[in-house]
Amino acid sequence: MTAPLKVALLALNSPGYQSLALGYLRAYAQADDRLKGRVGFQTLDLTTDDDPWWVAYRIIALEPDVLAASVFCWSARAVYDICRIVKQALPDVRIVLGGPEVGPIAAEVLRAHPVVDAVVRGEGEAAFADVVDLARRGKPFSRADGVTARDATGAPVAAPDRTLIADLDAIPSPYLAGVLEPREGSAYVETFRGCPHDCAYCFEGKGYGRIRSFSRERVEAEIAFLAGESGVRQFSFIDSVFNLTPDRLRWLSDMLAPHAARGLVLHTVEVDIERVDDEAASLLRRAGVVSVETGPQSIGAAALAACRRAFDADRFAAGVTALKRQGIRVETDLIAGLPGDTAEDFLKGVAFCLSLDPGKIQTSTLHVLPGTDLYLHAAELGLRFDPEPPHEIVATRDIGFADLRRLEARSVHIARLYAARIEGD
Amino acid sequence: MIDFHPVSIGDGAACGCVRCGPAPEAAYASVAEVEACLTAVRPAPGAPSDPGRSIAGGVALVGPEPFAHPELPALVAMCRRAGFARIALETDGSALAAHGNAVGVLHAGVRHLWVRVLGADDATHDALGGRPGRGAASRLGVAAYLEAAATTGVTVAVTAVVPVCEHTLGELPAIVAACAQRGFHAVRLEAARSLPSRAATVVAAACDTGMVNRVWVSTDGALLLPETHRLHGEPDGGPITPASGAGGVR
Repeated sequence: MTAPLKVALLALNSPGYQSLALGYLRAYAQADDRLKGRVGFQTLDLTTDDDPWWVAYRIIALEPDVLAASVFCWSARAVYDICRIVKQALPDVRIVLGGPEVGPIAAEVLRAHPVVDAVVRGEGEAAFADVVDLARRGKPFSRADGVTARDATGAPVAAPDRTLIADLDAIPSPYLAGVLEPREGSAYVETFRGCPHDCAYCFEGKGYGRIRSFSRERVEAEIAFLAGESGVRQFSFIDSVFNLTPDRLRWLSDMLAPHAARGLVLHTVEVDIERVDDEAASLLRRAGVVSVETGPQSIGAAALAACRRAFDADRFAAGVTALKRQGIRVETDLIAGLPGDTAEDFLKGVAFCLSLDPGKIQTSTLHVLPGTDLYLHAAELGLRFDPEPPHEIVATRDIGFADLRRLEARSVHIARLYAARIEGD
Repeated sequence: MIDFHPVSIGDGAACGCVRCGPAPEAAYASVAEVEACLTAVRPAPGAPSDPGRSIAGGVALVGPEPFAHPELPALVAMCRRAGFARIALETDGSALAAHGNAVGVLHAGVRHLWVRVLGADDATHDALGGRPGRGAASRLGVAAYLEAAATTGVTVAVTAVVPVCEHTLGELPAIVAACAQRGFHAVRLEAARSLPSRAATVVAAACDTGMVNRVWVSTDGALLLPETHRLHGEPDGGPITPASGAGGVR
């Protein structure tokens, strides 16, 4: 009898977070009839605070046949370091990467990192299961749709794009499958994939074409399980827009209300704030939402146009007011360094957010992410950014390097001035 | 961007350069006098926000050293009752480490400190302030306040206020570096006297020192800055110079 293939799954999350992606990958692969009883999975759900050498030590101790890592812009450098170390210690290990940092630039990643054997492009569950099956059978990874691997010479070769999973319910819930455990009373919920918006700086929903939803029965079963026997007290909804449609918001509110009445809360759900009226705010409160996250990202006309974002100051302010009336804290986000924005535009955005007294001001500098329109059209937009992850903006046509750094420091200072207040009075 | 209404608690200043002139005698206002000023600036309940403009909601007790005011707890409580969520104290910081003052003011609701700093080291601060021992005491006081905030998980903003005169000018970059090392969140440079034209270069160097040490440096309108550093010359709502108009008995 052949020994099972050993697969190690790795993610380096921001501290305090878990990888739902690894849960999905493992749950889907474990349910694949081709792999049942033939593959053993180990999940290493770690953080960016963990030292790459220590992470490599743990991986090497597992002696995996395949190392699969989920890669984001914030974890990429460490993941590359780890892969290099692991490959030196285990020359036969096959390394497969996936995630938004590598999928859109798969061939470049393979050229830049000789230790990487394959990159999964786009939605990963089905492609990853195929890759594992190919590894088990000793076949080239390039046979899997949605994967860029190497030919006999080591050059990148891209298999055709993979058709998206039409029925998301085909992906087992990682929680119900027992491959992901809630941590510290908190769990993630995803009810759909994709995004109704098409913001030029964001990777969310890129390549998905349209919104695909998990069935309501599946979502309800997962939430009932988590809020019931798992004792979860807090959900993080990773949906790109919580109030996607009025009907959907009412359904979520109806479903979550009994749990909210027992103390379950939802923190920082993403909302389209310009579509939040008093009724929507009330539904959010009833669902247990205590804080939301929203734009405007910029209020400058040129940047909004370049990023294909709409912004109506009055509707935005009305949304904040409606939420505050329900006692829901609003986190307003702004990005410094968007194309078309001047330093003054950015600071006007900060002043606008402050004038609404939303609860929290969050500012960041632009990261020009692979796969986004800004990444593809950076030169014509006058964006200069670090080609290495996390791809932070260096200078724009309208804001030089030094002023971008000044805006970073100054906006952090303003956010602190705002946050330093007596709470609850 | 965040308005702090300055309310004077008396005559005098928490700390100034004695080489520029003798320190004025401190005279403290009564609680009733301060309350009258506070009433004039308190936020109107339910006042509509004005998108694009700064928000109301901060008050700063300025003037002579507040920890020497016999009724400081009552003044802070009064600010709180008036509805201010952000209460600032302008201080030399030297009393913070004593008698549990750091924890006390934090619990009372003070989330902003404007600490006047005259030198990069204790000896220079003492020499320019004319008060031996105050530099070390201030350093310990700020540390105590920051520790109390960290322990209780409360967000605070501690800003160093540096009066810029011919005696502090040359040392500004070193002062900024020292403030960053001590944990200050920001540094405010305020023109205390008219300055030579070369001052702009030194002030710009102080701003750059803040950038590389991750502490924001801002200046008041009276300090000239090169165009390249204009972002350091705009107000964000930190310390306000007395000339900008404090209510009270200054």
